[in-house]
Formats: sequence, C-alpha cells, structure tokens
Amino acid sequence: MGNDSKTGVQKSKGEGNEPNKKMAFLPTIEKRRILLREKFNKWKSFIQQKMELKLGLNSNSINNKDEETKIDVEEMTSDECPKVLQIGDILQHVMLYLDAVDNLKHLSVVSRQFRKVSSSNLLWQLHCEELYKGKLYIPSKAKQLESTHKHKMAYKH
Amino acid sequence: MSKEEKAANESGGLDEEEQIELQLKSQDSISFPVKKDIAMHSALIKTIWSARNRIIKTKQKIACLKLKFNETTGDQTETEIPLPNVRSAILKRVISFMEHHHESPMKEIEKPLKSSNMREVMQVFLKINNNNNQRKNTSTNKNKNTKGDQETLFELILAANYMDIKPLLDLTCAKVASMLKGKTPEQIRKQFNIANDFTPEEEEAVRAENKWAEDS
Repeated sequence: MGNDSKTGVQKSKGEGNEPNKKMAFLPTIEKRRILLREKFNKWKSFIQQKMELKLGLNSNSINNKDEETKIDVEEMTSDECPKVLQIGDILQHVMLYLDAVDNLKHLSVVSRQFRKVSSSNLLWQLHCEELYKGKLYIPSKAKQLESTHKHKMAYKH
Repeated sequence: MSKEEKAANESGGLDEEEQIELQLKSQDSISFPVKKDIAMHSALIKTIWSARNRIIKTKQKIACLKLKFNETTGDQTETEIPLPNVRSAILKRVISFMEHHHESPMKEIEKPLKSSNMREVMQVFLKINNNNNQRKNTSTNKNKNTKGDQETLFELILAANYMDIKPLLDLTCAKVASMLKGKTPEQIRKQFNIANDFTPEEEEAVRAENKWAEDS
C-alpha cells in the first residue's frame, strides 16, 4: 500500500507536465460524487415539496404551523418516513368518501394528523369539483381563490 | 412468415403466458399459487413480472449469442414473487378478492358515501369470508370481533396499497369512511383508539374556524 502511495505521488509529480490527463480523470470521480449528491438533494427536496402539497402544509393552519412543518420534514427524512407518509395518503383516500361538512365538523377535530389531512388542498379541490358540478354560476371570489390553490376558502365562498 | 402464422404464434404465446401460475410468497414464507392473469390485478406484481421478463429475455439473448441457451432455460423459481409486507392470512383474502373480481370487475363506489351502511358495498367481502368459513353470520359476530376486524381491515388497506390494487383499496377505504361517517370526534377517537393531541385552546380554535360548516 505504501509503495502504491509512493508511486502515486511519484506519478503525480511526473505528470506535472501534463496536468490535463490527471485533471481530466480525477475531477470526474469527484464530479460524479457531487452530481450524485446534487441529484439526491434535488430528489429529496422535490419529494418534500410534493408531500407538503399533498398534506396541505402550505394551507392556512393553526398557531403552531411552522413547528408542525418542521416536525414533518424531520419525520420524512427519518427511517420511519414511508410509514408516516403512507398513513397520511390512506387517510386522505378515506376522506374522499366523506362529504365536506363531515370532514370539517368531525374529522378535523379528532387529532392533528386528521386536521392536517382534512385541510389538504387536493381534498378540497375535489370537494369544490363536487360542489360546482352541473352549476352554471360560480362566484368570482371562489374562482379567484381556486386559481390560487386555496380550495378550502373557495368552498366556503 | 405470413400474417396468419404470425397471429397464430402470438395467440399461442399469450395462452401459454396466461396459463402460468405465479407463486405469491407472503411475509411468513407461505406460497400461494395464483393464475398469472388474476395476479395481474396487482400493479406491483405486473411491474415485477414485466421487469423480470425483460431481464430473462435479455439473458436469453446474451446466452444465445454465447451459444449457452440450455443453461438459462428451465428455471422454475422465476414464477415466485415475494411480498414481504403482506401476511399469509391477508394475502389469502387479497387473492380471493382478485379471483372474485377477475370476471366481474367491481363497480366504482359513489363519492361521497350517501349512507354509513356499507352492507351492500361490502357484500362481496362478506361472501369471501363465508367461503373461507371464517365468519358465518356477520351480524351476530359484529360486536365480538370488532377489534380483530379493524386490524384485518387496516392490514388489507396496507396490503392493497402496497400491492397497488385500486378496487380493493377503494373498497376498504370506503368501509373505513362508512365507519367514520356521522360520528362525533369523541366517538371516532374511541373507536379507532386515537389520542387527542390538541390542547383545549387549539381544539376550540379549530372548531371556531370550521363553524361556518355547521351553520351551512
């Protein structure tokens, strides 16, 4: 090993005149590592953004909104992440079978997780679609709110 | 090769493929033989199968090139599909669901549910249970086995989600929704053993925020 390292040093000294070869080879490994890291980080942030949208973390929430989002991001990066996400997804799927009033009146008060899921944009988008189905007139305020992805508020109007 | 010959070959190939029996291996390493076309109701199995087929084909191509074709053929373990997240008892139910809906696909469940009575929707399920001699009279045993039923129901949801079987996921989620429908938060917490992690102030704030729904 020692010899190898020595030869390595010698080689690097010897190749000092032709730095292009060495530079062209070594950085590629580093570049690959950096690229992989970047890809991983991009992928991670993409999933986090998606999940924030899915769980409705960007929607209006109660006082501890910031704390909750922090906790969720931590949970997502932990080992238990898939379990936590899965339950949220399934809960959302269950809530699709309930009407909006049931959703707000009872489910949102059960627990924090229930509240988070019951106020998610995707769910309210579907409630809005159900509400406006077959209707000729939709209030302009509701339309505006819908365009800004505030579906729950749009339903209210 | 003429067009007719080609079509005959293709149809013959498909029949052979459809007759293949896959071995679905549960978490507790029990294998269940299922016909390929029935197992294909699960998107997960479909993906695994097609990916595996692609690998086999490329392997065969490589082997053909190397003139070692005989070495790759006759591998019987290729039909085994491991499902490490599903228990055998649950997998049995999932398979009976897939078999039942193979010829008569399930109708889409209405959204939102109009009543909390899921008897009509769940009839298929009850039939399956009766066939397995696990629960003969659901109405009499309803109160006795509610906890066990809930556990199986949630395991079925997880299995349907994992195996990506949309009709089963819809059915099981609709069942849970029917259990939630028209119940007060306290009743829901009690039924599903959910802890109330709201402070009294927060709970009041949420109620106040959603008061417009009660008024409407």
